[in-house]
Amino acid sequence: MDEIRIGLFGLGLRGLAWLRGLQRLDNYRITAIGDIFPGLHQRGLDQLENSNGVKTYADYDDFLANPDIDAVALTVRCEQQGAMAAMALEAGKHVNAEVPAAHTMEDCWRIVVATERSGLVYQLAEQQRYAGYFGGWQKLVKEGKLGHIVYFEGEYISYKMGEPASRKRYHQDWDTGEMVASEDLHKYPNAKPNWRHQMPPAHYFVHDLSPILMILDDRVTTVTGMGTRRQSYAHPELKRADIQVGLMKTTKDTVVRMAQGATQMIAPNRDHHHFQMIGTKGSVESGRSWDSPHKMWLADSQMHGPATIDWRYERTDAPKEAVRSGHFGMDYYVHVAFRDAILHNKPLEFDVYKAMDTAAPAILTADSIDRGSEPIEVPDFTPGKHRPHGTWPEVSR
Amino acid sequence: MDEIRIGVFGLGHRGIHWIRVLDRIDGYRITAVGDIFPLQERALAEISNSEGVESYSSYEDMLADPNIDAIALCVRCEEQGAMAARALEAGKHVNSEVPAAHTMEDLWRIVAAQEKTGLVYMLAEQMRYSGFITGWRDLVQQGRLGHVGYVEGEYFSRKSPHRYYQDPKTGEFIDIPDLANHPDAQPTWLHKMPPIHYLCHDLSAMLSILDDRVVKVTGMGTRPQSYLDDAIKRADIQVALLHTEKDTVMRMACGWTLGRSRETRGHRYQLIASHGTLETNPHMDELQSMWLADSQMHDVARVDWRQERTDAPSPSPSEAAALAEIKPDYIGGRRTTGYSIPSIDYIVHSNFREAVLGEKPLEFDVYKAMDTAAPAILAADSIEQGSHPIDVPDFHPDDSRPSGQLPKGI
Repeated sequence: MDEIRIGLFGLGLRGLAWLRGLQRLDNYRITAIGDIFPGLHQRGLDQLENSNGVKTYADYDDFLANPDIDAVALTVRCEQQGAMAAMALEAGKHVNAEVPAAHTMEDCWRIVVATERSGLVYQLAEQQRYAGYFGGWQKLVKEGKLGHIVYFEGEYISYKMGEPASRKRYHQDWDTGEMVASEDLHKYPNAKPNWRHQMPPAHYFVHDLSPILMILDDRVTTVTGMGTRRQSYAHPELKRADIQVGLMKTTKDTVVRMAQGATQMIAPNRDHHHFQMIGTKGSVESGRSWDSPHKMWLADSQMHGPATIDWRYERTDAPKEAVRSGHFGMDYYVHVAFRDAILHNKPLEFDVYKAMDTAAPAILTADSIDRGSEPIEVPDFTPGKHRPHGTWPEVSR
Repeated sequence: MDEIRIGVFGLGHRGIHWIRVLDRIDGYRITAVGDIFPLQERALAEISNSEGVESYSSYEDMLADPNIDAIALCVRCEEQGAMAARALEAGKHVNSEVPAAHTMEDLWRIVAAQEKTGLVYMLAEQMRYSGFITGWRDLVQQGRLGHVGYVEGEYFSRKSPHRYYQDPKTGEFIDIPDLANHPDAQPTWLHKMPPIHYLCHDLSAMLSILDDRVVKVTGMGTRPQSYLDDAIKRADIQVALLHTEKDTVMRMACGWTLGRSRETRGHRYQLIASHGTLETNPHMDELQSMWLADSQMHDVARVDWRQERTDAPSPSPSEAAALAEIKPDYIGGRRTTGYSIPSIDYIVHSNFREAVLGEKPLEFDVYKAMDTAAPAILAADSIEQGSHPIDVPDFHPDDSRPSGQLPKGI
């Protein structure tokens, strides 16, 4: 096998970006595209340089039955996202799934079990972990320059209601799949709130928790959460919390604070992601705005004040193929890692267990909020005596 | 009554600083100083006229002194709250250093004693009087930011290692590297105190901005043994999540053994609202930032807000000159007496003076003080209980707890 025949399901904006990206990389051939809304199929085909022989599907089961698909690129945004990934594995397809991995713990386990039983590749396509600055931060931690990391915070605070396209993110015409802005709802009698509207913001911790856990080489054991009411104060027409915050504890004794919100009005120049890592011997912090530098202070390095460092999302060692791949070049690494795992048996660094270590604390933070901030234990997804490889844990089924 | 005869108990670095301030402003006369350790001589030396000033080593004896109208409580010990309540019960007004207490029972005892006696209890938390806090509060209370969804406050630093052990006879603090020469040295309360008990400065300021109170708290922290130094048996950091009555989520954090530069601000705040954001400058050489959605701002505004107030209240000319003389003491490059922004420390003492003399009621009354202290105590309790959320009581009297009484079960 020297080529991956890939079928992409989910023709929203991310799906279209994936189609463009996959065509720029060697060893991928797009053989099918799909979406439950047939009206979106043509725009998928329009992204392809050569759409001859590319099949279109509105039914996911039919899509999975296609023998000309080796791997599924799953770019849906729906509550069933995790189950759909597991179904693909169970149908004998490798899976490269957009974030977040799943929205229920049962689906997380189903993905793990299906991966173990099938021996196929499951990758969560979280690209922020490939950012240049996380490489720099990870090196500092591995070398022990910061001492014991006692606190790490990450957040994804954005405001996407200011842009016309983004205002359409929360409602969808159920006949055509067309996204509908709140102010246009009266023109679309069949428009309904979509999953993004209903999804707890905490479920989207994944972009920030993924690099944090990578840097710490650690996993979360306990979570608790708090959030504002389930109706935006900034946009009362949206029935979702303005912000949800998770507090987490890791096996190595680091406290992690995560926050996610997309409806509060922030300055356009504010970087949506912000990270701060504090150790006993030093600390690093990303800039608050897109153009502000990182700061680093090392206790044992004769620094009177924090150093200003030009760390960026872009990697200094990025190959030219990466540069235009999306998300400051980070999208490239996701597709290359997936390709190399399938074609060259190169083990995924971000394997299914690490992926679930990222997804589960997010789901459980939202559960904690629903339960009045009760702390919830996060399971260890790796197999062992308590759960033999390829079997379900006792409590999850 | 036009002068408050005040007794200062607790003669550590903050006590000495208080004596210097109280000795220089109008309306106060220091009539007694006390400490369980023999530190009275150095305290007396700070008073411009120490003739007739009594020295005490017993708190009971000090409370029995009829020449004391008010107690300035500058101790740092687990019994701090009980000591404040005892002073009220003994008929003395109380101006107490932060934090107010370390148990919920002591908080209730302070509230009930204050209500029964009608005396003034003040928590001497000064951050709430900072210039920038007033600026932020005005914006929030004018509705310029809309609903505040999220607030962060923290007190992070890298304290020098001299406050964790103390000679039980002399009260002298012992540096950790010098412990081998002091076999009798004992861990101080600062050593044992859960770090999150000290979120009072940050929570006080943020609640004053929001005009709100915390209803639920949960917390997490690192192990109760520092990773920085084996001799420090306390967590390096503790973090609390708090939810307020008006539906704001707050993250408060405290830690003093952290790898943070002195050029990074120890107290940092961030406020994210439906229609704007505010943030303190992370580093000393930067300015605070403000963004208002309704003001045609393409980027955040950089604002020169500081702890210092632009309308620093009005010490009299003689007070101002005297206060300007107060400088922190340094030994070997380390600050050894309390230091704060003089203008906001002044407000604490000025407000207490006005309340005791009957000129003006306290803005930061006993209920607001307890609203600041209780979430801190309960955050530490939550950490001990595996992060279980804990409801924060409302300290105001009602049908279930008439004024002057303890709640059932306390």
